[in-house]
Amino acid sequence: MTSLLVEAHGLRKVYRRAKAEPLVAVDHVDLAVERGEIFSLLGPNGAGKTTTISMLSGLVKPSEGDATIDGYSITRQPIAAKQRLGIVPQEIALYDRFSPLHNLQFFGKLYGLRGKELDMRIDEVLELVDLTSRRNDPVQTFSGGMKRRVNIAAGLLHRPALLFMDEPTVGIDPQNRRRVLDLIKHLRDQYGITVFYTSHLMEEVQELSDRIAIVDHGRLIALGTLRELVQQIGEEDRITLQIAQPTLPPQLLDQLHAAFPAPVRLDIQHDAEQNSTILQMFAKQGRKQLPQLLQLLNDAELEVHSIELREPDLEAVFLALTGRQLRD
Amino acid sequence: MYKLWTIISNEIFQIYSDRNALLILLLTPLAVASLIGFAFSDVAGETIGISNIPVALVNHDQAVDQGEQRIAMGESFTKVFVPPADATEQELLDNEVWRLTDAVLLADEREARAGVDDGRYVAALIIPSDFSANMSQLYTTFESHPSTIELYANAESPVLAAIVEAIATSVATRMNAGSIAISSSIGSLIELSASDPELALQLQQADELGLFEQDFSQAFSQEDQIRFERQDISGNVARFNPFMMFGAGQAVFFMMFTAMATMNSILRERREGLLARQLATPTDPGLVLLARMLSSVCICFVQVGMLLCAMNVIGSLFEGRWSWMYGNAIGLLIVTVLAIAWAASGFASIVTSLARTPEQGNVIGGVITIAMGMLGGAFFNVSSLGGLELVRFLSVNYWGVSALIQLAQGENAVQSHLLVLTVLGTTTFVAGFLIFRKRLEA
Repeated sequence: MTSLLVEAHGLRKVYRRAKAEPLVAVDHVDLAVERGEIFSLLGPNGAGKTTTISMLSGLVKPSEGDATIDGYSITRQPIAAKQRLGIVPQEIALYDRFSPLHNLQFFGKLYGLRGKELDMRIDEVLELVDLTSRRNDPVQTFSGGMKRRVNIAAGLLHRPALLFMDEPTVGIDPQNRRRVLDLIKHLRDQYGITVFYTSHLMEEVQELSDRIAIVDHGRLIALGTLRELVQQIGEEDRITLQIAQPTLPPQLLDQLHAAFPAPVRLDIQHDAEQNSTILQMFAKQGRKQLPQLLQLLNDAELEVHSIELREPDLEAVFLALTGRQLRD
Repeated sequence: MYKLWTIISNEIFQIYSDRNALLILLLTPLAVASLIGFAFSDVAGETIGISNIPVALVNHDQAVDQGEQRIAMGESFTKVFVPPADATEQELLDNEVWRLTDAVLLADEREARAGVDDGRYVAALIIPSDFSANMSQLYTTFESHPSTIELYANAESPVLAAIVEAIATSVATRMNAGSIAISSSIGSLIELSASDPELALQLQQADELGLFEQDFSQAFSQEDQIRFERQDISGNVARFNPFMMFGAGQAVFFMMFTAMATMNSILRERREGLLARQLATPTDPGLVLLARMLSSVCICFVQVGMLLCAMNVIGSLFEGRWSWMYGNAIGLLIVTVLAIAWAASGFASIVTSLARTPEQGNVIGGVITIAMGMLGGAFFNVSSLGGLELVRFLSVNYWGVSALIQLAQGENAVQSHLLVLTVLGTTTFVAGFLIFRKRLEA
């Protein structure tokens, strides 16, 4: 058995449009997902994440390329491939007039489960998402977070080797989001389930993922662990200071540039709203330069309102790779 | 098979566990059909916005002479329908019967029947040759000899034929009432004479002098002198029952809405991600689509079955006696309802495959349902609209309602109806299936 559970080669999806140029939603994506890892696809809305998941789960036929799930081609052996995957769609894909029990029975039967085995699996997943006591209540009476948990349970019924989760935390409160994220880690750690996760929220991806693929405009622009991605952009810390002066004295500016020569970068902007100055410094191991920076400001008798130190993150990686913020 | 039934049972459970859906599926058509049925159980032509219904009259009646009096009941009957040549426009408008019907008097019975067969006339009223003779017996031999006027109707226009029958019945009722009313007043005199010998003697003398032209015994007879016998095109005696006719019409009409709504739910589920979730399971997408089609067939079958049964109960209650209105060939009736449900679901599947959104599906489905109802002759006589006459053959309602009415009238030769419905359903379903499957893969 190979260690790779998902392999995609040259996946491409083009949508023809009546009065416009064809839309390339996914453009020649190659990727491989290891067994037992949480693999995240990160990108802004419209980057092609959902289309990629739809092709990998057999819902959308690729225009070009193919993918295998546990060795089964999603285009040529879709039934065998689908038996090995579960899906948690972005929408709450449940019959909301009916109970979790009814929903799970229905989807369980479509996975070929029946009788006592089906009952046992339903008990198992309801316990996993902590909804055993609400098994007979209509889903429409549930909170957003509870619905999300039933949505996840429906994807786990047949104990899939691979679980696709498409933005599973959209529209829920922080408490339920935390529950969902903990559940995903639990699925990997306790059950060895491989999770293919998509999100546009880098904090979630950063927390969960063993490996991350960044997509933009349908193309995969970076792939690796968080550390590997950060290394790609030079691993810089970012120090942000808010100084209670609308402008900085020219003498201080000269001193700053002399003290922190390239490759350290300094960015100075006026904050009209606060009538203050925002000073940003980008530097490898920037935290070690912080005492000297504060000393210079102190000598110039400038009052510092706030200091923020950010280690390199996915936001910075995305910014460095695309020149845009992730939320643009 | 297990997965197929899983999807079908889920759909059926969804529909029949929803109170609002049940209200639309069952109570609404039942209420509409009952209301129209009750309305048409009596003469209600004046309340209906219909006019110029083409009717043919054939008067075979031979007038009889009774003393100096000439009795021509057939002629009187036709005059109710056919206005005199010199009738003014105002007179034509003021007369309800003349406004409602466009009656012609024909000499040739075959021509009248042929006109009904090819749709030129909604019905033909054929007055027998002994009509006046039988009626006059009432006055001369004191015996009741009911006469039968044949109503030869076109089963394709049940509503309009019902109006013609209602008018004709009304005329006959007035004629019957006229003779009974006179007899009744004489009857009261007889009752009085039982306690008054002098009055009895005077009455006897008057009778001997021929002052009374009516038979005394008829004063106590509740038997109508004029009866109707309805026949369909194939010549079988048919009993007009508005509950049967409107029950069938409304059941098929509303079933079309149900089929559209059931198939349209696949678009809603697509939007909500439910369809994607089903298709992400190891289930063939073709099986998912087939299951949806069969779900629609099952739901429509149950709906029409329940509606026909309920209409039967209402009709029986109204008539005051239990009777099954939809013929004795129950097996054939079940097959017919299945074929109607199949055809309706086929049409619904092609609408669903072409619509981009559930809202678009609702609008297109609604328009097609109403158009089919119209083409099926539920609202007016399509045969009078030239080109549309051929289009009606594409209507599920036309074939469905006409098959149900034929079965109700004891005419079990509905093979052509079943064949057309099956072909319509199959072709539209295959087309819808292929289009939708292609869209799913896109």
